[in-house]
Amino acid sequence: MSEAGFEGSFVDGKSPVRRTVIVSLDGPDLHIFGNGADVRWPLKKIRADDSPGQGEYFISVRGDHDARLNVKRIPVEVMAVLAHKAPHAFHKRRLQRQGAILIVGLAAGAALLVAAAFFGVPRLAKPLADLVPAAVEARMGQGILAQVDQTIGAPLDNAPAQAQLQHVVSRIDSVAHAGFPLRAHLIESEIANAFALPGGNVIVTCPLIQELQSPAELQAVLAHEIAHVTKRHVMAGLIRAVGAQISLAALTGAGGGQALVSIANQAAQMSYTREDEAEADRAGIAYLEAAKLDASGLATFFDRMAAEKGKDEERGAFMSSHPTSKARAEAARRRPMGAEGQSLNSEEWAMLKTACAPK
Amino acid sequence: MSDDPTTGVPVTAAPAGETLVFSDDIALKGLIGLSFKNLLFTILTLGLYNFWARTEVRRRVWAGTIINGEPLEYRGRGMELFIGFLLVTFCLLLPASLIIGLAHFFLDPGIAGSLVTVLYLAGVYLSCVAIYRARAYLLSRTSWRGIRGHLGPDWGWGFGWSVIGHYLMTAITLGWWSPRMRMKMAYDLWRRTSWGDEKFVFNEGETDKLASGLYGYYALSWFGAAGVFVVAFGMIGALVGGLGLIAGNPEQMDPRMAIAMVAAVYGVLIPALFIAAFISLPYQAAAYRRIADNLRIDKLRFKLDVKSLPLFWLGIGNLLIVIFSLGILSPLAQARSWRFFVRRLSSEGSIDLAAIEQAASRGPSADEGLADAMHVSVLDGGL
Repeated sequence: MSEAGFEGSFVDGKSPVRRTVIVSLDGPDLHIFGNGADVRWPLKKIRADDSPGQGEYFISVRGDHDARLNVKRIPVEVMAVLAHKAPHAFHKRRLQRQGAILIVGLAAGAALLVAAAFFGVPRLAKPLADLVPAAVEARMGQGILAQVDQTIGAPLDNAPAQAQLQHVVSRIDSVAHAGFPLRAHLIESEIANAFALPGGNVIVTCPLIQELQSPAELQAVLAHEIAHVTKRHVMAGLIRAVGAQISLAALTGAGGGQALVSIANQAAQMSYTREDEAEADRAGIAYLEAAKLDASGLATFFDRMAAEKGKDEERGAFMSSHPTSKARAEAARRRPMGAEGQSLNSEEWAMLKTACAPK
Repeated sequence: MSDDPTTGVPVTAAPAGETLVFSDDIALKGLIGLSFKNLLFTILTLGLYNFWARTEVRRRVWAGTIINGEPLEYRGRGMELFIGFLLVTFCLLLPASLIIGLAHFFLDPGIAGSLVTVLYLAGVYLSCVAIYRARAYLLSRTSWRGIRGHLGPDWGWGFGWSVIGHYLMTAITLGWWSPRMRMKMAYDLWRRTSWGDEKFVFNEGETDKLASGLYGYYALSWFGAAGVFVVAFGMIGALVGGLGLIAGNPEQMDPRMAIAMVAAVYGVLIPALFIAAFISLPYQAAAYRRIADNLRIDKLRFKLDVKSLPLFWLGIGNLLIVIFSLGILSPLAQARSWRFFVRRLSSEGSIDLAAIEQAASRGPSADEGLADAMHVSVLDGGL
């Protein structure tokens, strides 16, 4: 049963000829006819776009990509029926709700990605790291070692000094059971630093040897770094960095995401969590004790670092993932001291110091 | 005009040929409100909304572009851009960065380095392909009287190589290839462009002669820019040298003096860039006019009345809008540029609309994602 028609303008999507047509409601359909046009569009499938500034409805139907019906004025009684029967086109509140769902959905998606990057990935990193076979990690370590050469510094060209350092590492290795052979590397560099790479490569820079005041401090630092390797903290740090990047990738380029990604990267890049550091301190001391080595160096070393860095680090403690040096020194001091054993005698220690002295 | 006997509706028989009249009804004020709404939603969704934001801006600008009393329609959807972006991110960029990362771990540094170089070059090539694909997408989502634009999708890969070749030639010739590049790219793009099944024709095959008329304008802009930069670097040298003499030992330099030096460099360089850009305007305007002059569809020819000075004021206005709104109102600047060209576009001759049919292909589905990921603007492909 056809109701009273109103005028519209129709293109069939096949040729650019515009026809003036009569539009009427016919049961479940919108009937468009006249001037050679005769189509029925199911009301349930029609879409409308009240083009901005035009005061005109552009009506289309799902399933026909190109045909368009332009209508300047829709009679009030027809509009009342359309709002009810053509909800996708004329139900204002429903359309607004669709817009809101999009925004809320996108915001939730973005929040989920951020949560994955900042909370999910860090929690998954450790279990995943434990799954990586030792052989694979060892192979990765070789690749990174080659880059250390180019970026941080070249190995110190002094075989006896390298051997001394390896001697200390091997002694700790005998009780640490890393799963792959631990190798020490003494490196020439501008910065005092010690760190572990995947696959059991432990790097110590010459300026750090200069800063250390006793073999006890050296073995404590090495035991701590070796603990990072055996507890798979290094691998976990790597997985965190990559995981954060992947989960935030959907936000980069999408606009506002870049800042977030660089924050996440800085936070995750090969860094250890506060728990990792505490665990490495504990395990390091345990290794030293098992190897019958003096573990007091950890406390004296962190005491000195705390004194040097002073209040700045105290203030930053809440922001940083690392416990402060002072807190770590205290924790180390609370541990029972090991045997009085030193991995290097005073002559060997003096030789290592001389080898690392600035030329 | 007679009446259809069955309905009584006046018959609007299509004339055999129509000329096209371009005008605009773009509501710039409405775009300001839209820009802030988009900003709000973009912040709320940490950037994800921007695909819908851009789509909405286009929809409004297209709807305000009137040809023979009828607006253009933009049919693209935010979701399409979003899907394209996801595809590119997860199928292209992430695997590439994973390969680079793993190569550093597992491969010899030399091999890893060359692999990174190869991937980087592939990225440059893909971003050239992206120019083409983005244009194809945009045309396929633009319709007038229900008929869509169309750019043959099969040539994107070839276009990528041709753009790389042009850029190399431009570098080798210190810029003197660029008028040829501009004309050749316009030729390559427009002769593959159609509206429905009616192809655009670009200069009917005389492309080599096309650029020759542009070289006078280009020489002006090339020598003008060269002169400006010679003077600018001379001034910078004198200023920095003079300040350096006053400051004395560079290692104990007063920080205020260092700031003065940086200010001197930028104080000279930024005006120099502006002057060089200004000198190049006659060339830019001539290139626009020439492309329009050589374009035709059916028996309809185009004219684009673009001159240097209006182009200059357009650029200045847009620059101020973008700077003072911190980029928030850049849709307004885009709309102003669009409107600038629409208002200066006219046509002669006629096009037989009744003979035109819809092209069979619906066009690419989400290809602009590729361009998005490479940060290539759709407008980079020339007019």
